[in-house]
Amino acid sequence: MKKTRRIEILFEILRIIFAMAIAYLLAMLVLLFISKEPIEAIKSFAFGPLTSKRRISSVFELMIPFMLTGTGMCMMYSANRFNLSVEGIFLFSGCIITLCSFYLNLPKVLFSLVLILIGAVVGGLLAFIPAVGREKLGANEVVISIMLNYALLYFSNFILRNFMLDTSVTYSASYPIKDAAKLTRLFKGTRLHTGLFVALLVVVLGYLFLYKTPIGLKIRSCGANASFAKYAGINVALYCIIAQVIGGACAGIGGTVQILGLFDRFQWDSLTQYGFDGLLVSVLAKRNPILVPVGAFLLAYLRIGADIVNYSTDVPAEFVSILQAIIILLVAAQEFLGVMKRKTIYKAARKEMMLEKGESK
Amino acid sequence: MSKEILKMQNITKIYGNGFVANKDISFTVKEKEIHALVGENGAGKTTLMKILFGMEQPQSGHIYIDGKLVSFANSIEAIAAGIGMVHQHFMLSDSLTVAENVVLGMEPLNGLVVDKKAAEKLTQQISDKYNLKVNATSKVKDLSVGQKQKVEIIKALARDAKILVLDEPTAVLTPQETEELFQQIKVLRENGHSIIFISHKLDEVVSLCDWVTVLRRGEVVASVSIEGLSQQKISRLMVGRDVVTTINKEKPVLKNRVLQMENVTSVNDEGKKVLDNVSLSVYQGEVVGIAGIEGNGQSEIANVITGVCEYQFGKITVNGVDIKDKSIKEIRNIGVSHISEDRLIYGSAADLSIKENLIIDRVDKSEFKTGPFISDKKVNKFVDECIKYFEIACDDRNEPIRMLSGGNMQKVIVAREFTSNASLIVANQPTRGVDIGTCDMIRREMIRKTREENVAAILISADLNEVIEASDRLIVMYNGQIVAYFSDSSSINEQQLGEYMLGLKKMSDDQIREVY
Repeated sequence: MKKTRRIEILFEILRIIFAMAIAYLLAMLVLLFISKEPIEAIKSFAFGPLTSKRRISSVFELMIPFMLTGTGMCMMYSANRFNLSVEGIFLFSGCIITLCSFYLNLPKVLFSLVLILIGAVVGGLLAFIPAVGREKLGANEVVISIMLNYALLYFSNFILRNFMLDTSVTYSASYPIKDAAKLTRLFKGTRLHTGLFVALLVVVLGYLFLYKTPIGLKIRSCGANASFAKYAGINVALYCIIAQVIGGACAGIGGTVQILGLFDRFQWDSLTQYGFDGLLVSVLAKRNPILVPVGAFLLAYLRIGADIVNYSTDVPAEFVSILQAIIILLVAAQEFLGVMKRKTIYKAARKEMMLEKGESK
Repeated sequence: MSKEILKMQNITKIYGNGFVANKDISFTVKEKEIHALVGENGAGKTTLMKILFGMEQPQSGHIYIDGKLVSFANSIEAIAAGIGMVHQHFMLSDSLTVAENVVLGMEPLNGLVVDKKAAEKLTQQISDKYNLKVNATSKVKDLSVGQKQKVEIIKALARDAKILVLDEPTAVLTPQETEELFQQIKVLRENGHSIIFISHKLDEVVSLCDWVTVLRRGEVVASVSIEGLSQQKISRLMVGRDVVTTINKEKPVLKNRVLQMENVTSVNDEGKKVLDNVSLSVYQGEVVGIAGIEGNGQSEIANVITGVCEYQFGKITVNGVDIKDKSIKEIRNIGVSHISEDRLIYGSAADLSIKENLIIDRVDKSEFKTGPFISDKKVNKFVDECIKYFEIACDDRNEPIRMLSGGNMQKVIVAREFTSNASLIVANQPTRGVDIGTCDMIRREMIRKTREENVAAILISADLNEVIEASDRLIVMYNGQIVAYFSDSSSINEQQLGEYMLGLKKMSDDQIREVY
């Protein structure tokens, strides 16, 4: 049986590699048709992100929000709850901490840490709403959280317009955020900031929490089989709520870090999509936070490649969304390569059977 | 010498998880034969029958019916070729009548509407011809388990089944119903049908069947005439060694009362009394058996004691503590452990590892932690001890429990519940669908715990032989009530139990009260 498990793991990895390969091949095929300079486009799509220090650093920059929302979704997903409020929380916590930053005066670093803490608390409280709706009132958490996302978007717009709108600039944005609150840039000439360490810390803590603590095991048992968890004496509602609140807190940290790391003012007026990207990352990571950086890197690399294609060639950015869909589809599809996997398992089993026969004779 | 009606040749089936269920099996059934197919759980009986019925595709091998090569892509083709299957779990629609169930999918039409008269006539004809005693116009939900099984047989016969597969047909029947079924099976044989009879009960195989095929670990170890075979011989073929099924246990020495149920009544969501004024005491050092046909309140007793279900009236105390309104966790902490009846739904989480399944109820205990974290070192030590003591066949403590066979999965659950330091073990169908060797181990360990560790145990089982053998005292449930109490389990036989289980007899209230 050990063999079977090895084959299963091998095919998990193969599936991701094949999915990437197929998507890239398709991309190149499409590029051949829609671009006047296909070779150039293909090159910049596949290798563009590696061609300069700035581009490499933008991949890592983009990984930061992906890792934070991805870890957040891993929490929800481990309890088998699809609380999508991560999307709205990301935006809303960015808004709230900007507002808070105007009323606070703290030394550098401490200022950022306090704001990150506020972001986490706001995120946790907001994720609590769909969680309680689901666990205590039996309302579907997917529906509530999606509705909540829109409520948060418009509430955030309201706060921006009424409490912190800077009328001296031509676009809709808040007053400038104090420098002391901002996260430090790591290298000259790039925008990569210390949020990277925050994200990595959250990933590691998330992993330790889910896989090494009693609460984490209880959360995963609720997700794996709620009836079983109940029979074993676990308060299923409580642990599912804990998972969702912590997931929300991760997303809150995400929104905070993104604003403090990259922006001078709060200026988001539509949903950022980082929440849904987090869902993709958590699917790629198979609900395990320790794999989140890998998933986040794949997605970020793809996105940056698409950006480069978009501004350096004649290819529209939309086609990358299609590629991304293909990759996610193939990785998430349990049956992709399933026939091949089973054949390999059969072969191994048959070989073992023959060996046994030989021995017994 | 009658001709071969079915021949399955060199069948090999490997499942997607790498498990080889059938290794090069050849299996032949003759006309007008009752052919027993026996083997431990996981030996490959069900898989072989699923292949015959078109529900699974083999990797290699051929099937011949009446000498003609056939292959079935699905059950519809198998049915058309004259194969009928009566599953362990009935495939009937409760709200329809018997006749409607029988013609489902092959309705006789009168213009555009179903011709009910014709359907009823057809059903009644078959029922009368084979003496199956079923009323075509009754609703299925009003029928007893035994009668539902007859409906399944009629369904197969209505589709002209030549070969009838009965998958553990007697598991849900009382001895009286079993006797009746055997008469009817013999009538079927007289009428030219061949029957494949799958059973764990070897006495039935010996008394009913003509021929027996024994499977072990996916291979045929014998296919012989039943004449001259004893139960012992068959079981030795099945297991590969001698099995002692009788358990020698010392007389129990009763000490403190652990469980006391006083006039407990539980009403379910539909307003039905599932437990009706049940009073029961269980003491340290004894196993109390609960017998009954499924659905007569046995599971509900387990569920109210363990906190899974509520009760509205009466009082339950465990170790002197009233458990009313206590959570499952609090009740477990008072000292109750629970082997639930369905290991896949309530007993385990398939995707979690063996290790995680073993420690799920005790991760908060300091003996398994260092600081806030689960201590791998401490946990692994405990898990390895469990794997060794309970002989759990696995490659690694971290492998998902879904990779284990049913028997080994059950061993993991039993290991968890037996090592939780409980003073009361509630075992609901602990050996259902488990191989003989594992059954034996679970029963012995339960008795050992009562004798040596002063544990009190409740054993609920549909296997009458098991409740009689493994328990010290015994009650019978019917319709939510205790209808019989025996202070010495070894003094009764299955026949006597059957009469109480069917509700034909009931003891006086005074006699029943003695169990309290």
